[in-house]
Amino acid sequence: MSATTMPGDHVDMPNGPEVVSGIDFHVSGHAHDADHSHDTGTMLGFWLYLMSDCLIFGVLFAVHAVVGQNFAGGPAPADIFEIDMILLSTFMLLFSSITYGFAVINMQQRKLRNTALWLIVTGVFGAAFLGLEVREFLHLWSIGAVPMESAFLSSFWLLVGTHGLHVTVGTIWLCVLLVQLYMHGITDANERRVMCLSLFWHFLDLIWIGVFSFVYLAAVLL
Amino acid sequence: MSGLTQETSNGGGFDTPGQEPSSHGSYKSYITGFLLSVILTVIPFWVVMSDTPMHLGAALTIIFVLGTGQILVHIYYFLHVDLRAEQGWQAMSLIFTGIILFVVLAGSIWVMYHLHTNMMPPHFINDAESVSARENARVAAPDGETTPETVGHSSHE
Repeated sequence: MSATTMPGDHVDMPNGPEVVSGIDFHVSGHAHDADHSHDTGTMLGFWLYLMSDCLIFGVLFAVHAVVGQNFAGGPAPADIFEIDMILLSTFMLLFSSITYGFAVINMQQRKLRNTALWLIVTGVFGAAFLGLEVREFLHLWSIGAVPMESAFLSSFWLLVGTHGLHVTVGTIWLCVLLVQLYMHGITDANERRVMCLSLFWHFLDLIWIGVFSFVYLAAVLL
Repeated sequence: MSGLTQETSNGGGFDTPGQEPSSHGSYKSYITGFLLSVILTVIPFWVVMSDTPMHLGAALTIIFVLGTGQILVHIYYFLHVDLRAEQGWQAMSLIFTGIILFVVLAGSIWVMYHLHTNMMPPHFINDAESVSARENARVAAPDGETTPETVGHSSHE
């Protein structure tokens, strides 16, 4: 970078650090005042990301609403869905939501060990949910209910698969977060990360409500 | 900029440190949200899983009303959205997203269902009739002569 400095860079350079330190000053001043790391705007930014993610899911739900009855002679929801297994995975996600809440409470009380334990429990429930989902997908694949079969199955695999992908990413994030907590303890940065993943995790549970109500329960009745 | 927002929040008296812990929930609020979610989950599953004779419209209404209720419970007890958080921007963006979602969902369903009935060419209608005839045959003969690969596998599962 510095090896190829242009004359213009010399003009810009003095401004750079000044701006950065200005931001740092405000951030630390803020954290001091409210004793809270999420006044930096990160939480609001992450929230806006979640809202855009919500739109992605909304579009996938809209697609499923439009083509969800087009079976093209293939299997219908009542033929292929095992509602008792869906109830089980719903409870896995619900349990993981409340255990994540307990992790956040313990983090705010600066109890690193309890925070990590609750996060691990959350991860186990998340992994159980993913295991049930993989089991369902393998079952569907084995009976020929593949995405290529009908428009209904295409949008089903896309919608539920996208949600499952999010949970997978969230579980990986959880593991990385545990390593960061182990290495650095409950710092401001780690606290912010835990709060962001908290939003992400609860958001995924919220999307799942739409999935089980609309994709599974209502479709089985129709 | 940040000094300004700080001033506003202090002036409004919203972000006082004493109120902070409640915005992230306590054991009590998480457990309340959890119990409400359990109730709102179990009832629609019960409607579908128990073979209680019920009007289809009533069952669908229960599923969607309770599902919406549970989404609101999650937003309040787990995501901790309130009108004051982040100077109101959190609630604002949520409401905005809700409006966009309503337009996308209601618009898609409305337009596409009308297209479906208004613009389907005659030969597709014949196709659709033959498909529905096959569907009826499948329902009439549930022991699986018509679609052996699907029904056969699911029966031994």
